[in-house]
Amino acid sequence: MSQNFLDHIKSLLPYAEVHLIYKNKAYAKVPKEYWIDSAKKLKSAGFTLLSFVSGIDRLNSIEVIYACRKPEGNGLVIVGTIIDRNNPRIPSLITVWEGALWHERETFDLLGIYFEGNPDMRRILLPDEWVGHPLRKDYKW
Amino acid sequence: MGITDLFQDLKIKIINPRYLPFIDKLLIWGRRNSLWLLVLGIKCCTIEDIMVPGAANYDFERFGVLPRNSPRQCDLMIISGPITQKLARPIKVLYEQMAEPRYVIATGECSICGGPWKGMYSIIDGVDQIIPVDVYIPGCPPKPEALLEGIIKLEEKILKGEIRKKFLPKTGIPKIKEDWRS
Repeated sequence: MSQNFLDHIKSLLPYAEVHLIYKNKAYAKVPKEYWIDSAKKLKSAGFTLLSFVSGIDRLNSIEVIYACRKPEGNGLVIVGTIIDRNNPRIPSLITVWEGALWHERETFDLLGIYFEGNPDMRRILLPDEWVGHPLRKDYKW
Repeated sequence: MGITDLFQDLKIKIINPRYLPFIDKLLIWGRRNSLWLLVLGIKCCTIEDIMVPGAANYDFERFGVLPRNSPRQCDLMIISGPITQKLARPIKVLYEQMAEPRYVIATGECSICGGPWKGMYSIIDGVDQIIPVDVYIPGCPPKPEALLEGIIKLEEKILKGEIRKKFLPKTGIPKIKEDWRS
């Protein structure tokens, strides 16, 4: 069953490097150009529920991730892409899932990743005049 | 704070001055028995300190604590959770909107000193840095009996006239501009 799931994800995202995390949970690393394309393909394949959008500070780069679930059939795919740490910009997922609005605001607030195309790119958890992004590993307070 | 001082300030001579201490005591007694509570839930202590004592088992309405929704009608504010930098400003505005005399109870470790988040970048270490606090109730969370004990202590304080004139601390909220609403 897990091999079927892995093959299914690999056929959906041929440009991605897919690893199986657990039975029906997979991690796919995609190039930056296919960020929106992977979301559209996964959504049309039944992964209609966006769980979260987040990011990881890897010190010399930043990884943006999103996770989407399949309500019928119980599957989870985490898609990640590596972007530049000094100028972290990525297209917004709001064209695919409208619910990505607040997730992207939170990621912008805590990690400083700018989502191009998001209409409301303000801080959400911290006050507007805050300086810095607290979840970056070199943040000092 | 008493009505005697108020009448002397305004130079009102309608009432015979020898009745004024009695009216003062009556007013303090009335204040003690009508501590209307601002419904302000911040975090998990709210369940233990506002919802549970408000329900039938403990029923803090026996002590005159009646939950109200508007800060203009309230005398008592229960701070029940850690105060983030962003929440500090609405809390201060709510406190200023409440009518004098106003009382504040801080319940739980988070609102007293920051609790497990003490020293964190977005948490204020204790609510007494932004508004004055009358009664502290420690615990994580305190039991509903502890809240009732705190309310009784506050009522004793009011009855003895130990509530001093309120002041806002000079330090204010760190890292925050004054004109935050613009």
